[in-house]
Amino acid sequence: MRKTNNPFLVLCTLVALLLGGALPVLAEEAVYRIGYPNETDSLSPLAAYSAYAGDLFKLIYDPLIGVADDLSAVGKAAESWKISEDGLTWTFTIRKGLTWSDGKPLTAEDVKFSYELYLSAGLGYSSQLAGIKEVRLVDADTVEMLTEAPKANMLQISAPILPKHVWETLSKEELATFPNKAPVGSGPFIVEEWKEKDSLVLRANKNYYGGAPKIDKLIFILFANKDAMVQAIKTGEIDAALDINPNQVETLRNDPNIEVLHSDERSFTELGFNCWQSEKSKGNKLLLDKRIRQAMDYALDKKKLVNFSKMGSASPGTTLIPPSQPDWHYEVPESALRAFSPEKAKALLDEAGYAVGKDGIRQDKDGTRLSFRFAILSNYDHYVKSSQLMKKMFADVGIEVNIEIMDEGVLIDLMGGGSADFDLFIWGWTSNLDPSYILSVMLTSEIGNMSDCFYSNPEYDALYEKQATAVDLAERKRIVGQMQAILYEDAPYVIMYYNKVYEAYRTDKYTNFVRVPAENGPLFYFAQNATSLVKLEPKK
Amino acid sequence: MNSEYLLRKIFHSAITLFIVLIINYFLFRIMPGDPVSMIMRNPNANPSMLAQVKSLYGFDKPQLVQFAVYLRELVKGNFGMSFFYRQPVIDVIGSRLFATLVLAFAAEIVAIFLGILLGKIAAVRRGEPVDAAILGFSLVTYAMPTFWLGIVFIAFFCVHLGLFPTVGMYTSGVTFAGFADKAVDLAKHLFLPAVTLAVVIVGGYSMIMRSSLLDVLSEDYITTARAKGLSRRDVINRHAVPNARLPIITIIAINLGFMIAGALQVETVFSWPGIGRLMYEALKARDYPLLQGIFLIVSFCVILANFAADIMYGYLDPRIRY
Amino acid sequence: MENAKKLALHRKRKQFVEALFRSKMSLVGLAILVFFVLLAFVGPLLYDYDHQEYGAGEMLEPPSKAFLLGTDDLGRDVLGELIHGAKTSLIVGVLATLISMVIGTVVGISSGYFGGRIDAFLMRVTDAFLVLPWLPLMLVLAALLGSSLWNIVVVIGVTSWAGTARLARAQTLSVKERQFVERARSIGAGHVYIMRKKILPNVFPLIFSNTVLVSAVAILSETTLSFLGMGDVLRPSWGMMLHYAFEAGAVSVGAYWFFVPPGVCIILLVLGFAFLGHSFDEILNPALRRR
Repeated sequence: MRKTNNPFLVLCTLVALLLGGALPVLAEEAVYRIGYPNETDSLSPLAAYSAYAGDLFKLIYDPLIGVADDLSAVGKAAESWKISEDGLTWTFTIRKGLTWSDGKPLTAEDVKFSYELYLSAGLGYSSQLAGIKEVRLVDADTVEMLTEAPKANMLQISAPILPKHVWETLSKEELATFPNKAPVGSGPFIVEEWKEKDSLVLRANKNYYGGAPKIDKLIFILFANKDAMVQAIKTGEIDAALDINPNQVETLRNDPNIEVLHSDERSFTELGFNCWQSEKSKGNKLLLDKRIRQAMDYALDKKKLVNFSKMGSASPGTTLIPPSQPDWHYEVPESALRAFSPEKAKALLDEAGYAVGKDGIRQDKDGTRLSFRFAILSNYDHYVKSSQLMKKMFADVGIEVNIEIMDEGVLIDLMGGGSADFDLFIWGWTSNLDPSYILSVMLTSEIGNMSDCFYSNPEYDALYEKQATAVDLAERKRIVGQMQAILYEDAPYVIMYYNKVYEAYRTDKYTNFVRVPAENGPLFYFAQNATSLVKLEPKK
Repeated sequence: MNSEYLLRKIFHSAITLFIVLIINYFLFRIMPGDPVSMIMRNPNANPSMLAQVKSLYGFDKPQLVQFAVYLRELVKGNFGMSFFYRQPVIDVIGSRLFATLVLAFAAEIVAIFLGILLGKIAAVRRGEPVDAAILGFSLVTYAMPTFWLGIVFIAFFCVHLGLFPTVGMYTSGVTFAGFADKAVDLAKHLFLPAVTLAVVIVGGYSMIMRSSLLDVLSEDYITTARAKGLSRRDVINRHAVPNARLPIITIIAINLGFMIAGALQVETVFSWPGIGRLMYEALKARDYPLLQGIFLIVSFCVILANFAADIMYGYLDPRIRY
Repeated sequence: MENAKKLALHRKRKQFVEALFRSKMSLVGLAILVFFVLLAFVGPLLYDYDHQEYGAGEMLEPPSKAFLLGTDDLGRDVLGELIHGAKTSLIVGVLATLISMVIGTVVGISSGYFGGRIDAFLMRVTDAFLVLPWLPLMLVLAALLGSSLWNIVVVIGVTSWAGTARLARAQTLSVKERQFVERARSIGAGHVYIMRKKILPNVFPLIFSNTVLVSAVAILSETTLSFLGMGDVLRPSWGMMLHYAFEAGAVSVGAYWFFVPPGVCIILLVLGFAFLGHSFDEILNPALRRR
């Protein structure tokens, strides 16, 4: 047995060594480590589609026009721009002396190439570029963009400018899958290494024209679970933790070296109704009556949902665009607001002729019960929690919902397949800073594509076209507001809550934390620009 | 060991592999959702992009044709294209195997030594309180959910005592001064996950060691050895233990599937960058081709390990002649 | 002569101690199981608790007189959740094992009895199920079927029968050449009759003790599935408690009352099955202790 004893001794020695052993030698570099719960799906702006990818591209690429710290448009690769009288021609002057991370100069040629690449490939950011007819090279520093109609969101395009000398070598077939593992970019950071489902290492671009980052290295570490992330920030293994659990905020705040921020997300969670008027719909036809949908809105105690399902990390919702986009959010006037009131819900249903049946559930005149299938996606805990609370709230006003827990793929299959075989569901959207995308979800033309409630309203569709060409900001805001008012009245969605996010960061090693926008914006999580990461500096 | 036996074993393994292939392929074909619908709710999704992604996966062809294409591509080493990353699955998996091998190997070593040690003590002290205690320990570790043990370890050793890091394989972003520093860093990260994984398998090993040692001890040659005047200690160490170790070899191979399950949980709890964690993340993202690829590779490894165990068993046990 | 007597006596005493020891173990196992069955089926009648009522107390409140085991992340009583969750584990443990036992026995006996090509085919399928990574396989199947309690039962049942099949086959092979089987065959009894009346009774004891151990695995599987987010979210269960505890950050917050009790309950319950299975194994099949 002597033989087998030895390795055991070795093991014990090893343990002793571990516990007493030296800490790993930290290099002199200022390394900033951020723990996050979700990662990008690709490093290629043409292959990526997730919102997380857009978040990353802000760091490694510059768009033509970016977002300033007050959320207004600011020139990035473009130094200045102007629009013609008829609103059909935009002229962009490219900043001089820009270089790619491989040392080659960034010119107007690259801009023209990139925009044409998106448009011809129909990939990546092409939907943002819709309406651009032609990109013309005026001289080495100037490009002109010709549009079919005035393009209201021209300055909100966030498409990264790509280096022509890298991308021109790719065939059309290669574009959709080109991994772009070592991106040549022009942003404040450069990708050093990406290990999928593990970590993403960025290096500071010390030549960045807009002021180089003060840190040397930025590492995003993907966590399989949020608790591990919180433990890691407590032990100092990471310097910041994004999207932490509301429960953990208090313990983190007790740590003198940790600060916690609560900021608005550009996302909401909705109760969706099957509003498809087609004969083919297998949804419950009662839901086509908007009074039922409105009554269900009245019946929802959104504050309670926020408190329990989101642990307070959200705010009760009203209209389609979250208040975190103050330019576009429509504030419903007091008179039209459907505040929580089971009495009003009951009154509305009584008035509409849905009397309470023997079993306590309301019925229409033919005796059809107000009983709906309620599709809940299993992978979101707060949907599950909300659904159980909502079941009770609806029962209080005489509406029965039957919760069906399912996989996202199952619900997608139910919605697709041409029969819209569902009644109610909970889901959510994350929007862009520009409202076009989130507004487009409700278009008649999106039925069969992105629309999940199969809503259709010609008036709304017409207004959408109108706002897309309203170059005047005030005019566009007015139309976008009008569209949200229509949606609120029709209630194809009941917006349950606007999500908020907690970010924790250590204050012992780094300083100068900047929020964008300053009052309620996030630090790092879905930040509008790279400011917070560029300004961050190590403590002396 | 004759070649006929070897051939038969190889043939069996090949058939098993083929059945695994069939199950694996069709299981993932009936899963709800596809890459196209999965990217629909993202800001950059548009009809043109959706169409291109669809053609990328060739879902338009009949099932059997798709299966044939799948087999053909497998032979060429192409395990398919990840839904989530739109990169070849093999590229994503490849970089993760090493981390899991390190973890599994470390856990296996600890478990085998401890298992043999405990099993021996229990067998020698058969029926005494020590035996009962070891059996109790073995059963309790067997009854413990792996992930729960990991959580408790983290809560105690990392959060409460602050002894070990909780995340990953190395301290990220550190440039190590030398190999020794890197090894120490790895060891620090490896310790708790490996111990967690070892604890949940050690019970099985010790119980098997105990019972096979008891079997061996009752055999004639042991009695003979005793009769020759060898000490009890020598008989056990020189004659009984080497033979009693044999079943452990088989059990390691059989246990491989169990190890994978354990690794999935341990890697998830400790954010270890291995195959198990990748599997969990792929499942969360419903990245079926990636899962399919991992399933295939894991199954292949298990088949290989079983095959190797069979061969090794025959080689090591002088009493078995095929 | 004196020595040999001593030795024999010693051996006998040892056997006696062992037998006692064994039965003690099975008694403990049985006691644990009885306790949990009572907890699961009588407990809810005595201890009033509503799984869907959030906010009975503060969130993650430490143990107090009002809440003996504190509250969870939704302000629910952990003790109530624990009592009402026992049923889930037991149901899954027992039903999934039944499915697994039936599939395993049918496959194993047919394989051993018919031999030849049927045997070869069935055994390769069994091998395939043995080599496929079972936990991920369960997770995938749960995603496919939707994670309701009954689906989880099915998922665990259909993925855990391979070991039983192997065992049943081996035992069938040793039984089928015996005289009474030959006799039955010679008087023209049908295959199904022979398998059911002659072979099954001889294979069953072995399978049964194995089955008790499978129950332990089934309970652990349910727990793990739930923990990894594939559990039945509408029912209280210990696995879901651990899932929510981990998601809600109970570990880093130090809310041990939320994640320790369900873990301990799972260990005890599995231990109960394991004790029982182990002692059955020792008593019924002394030759097969290796498994």
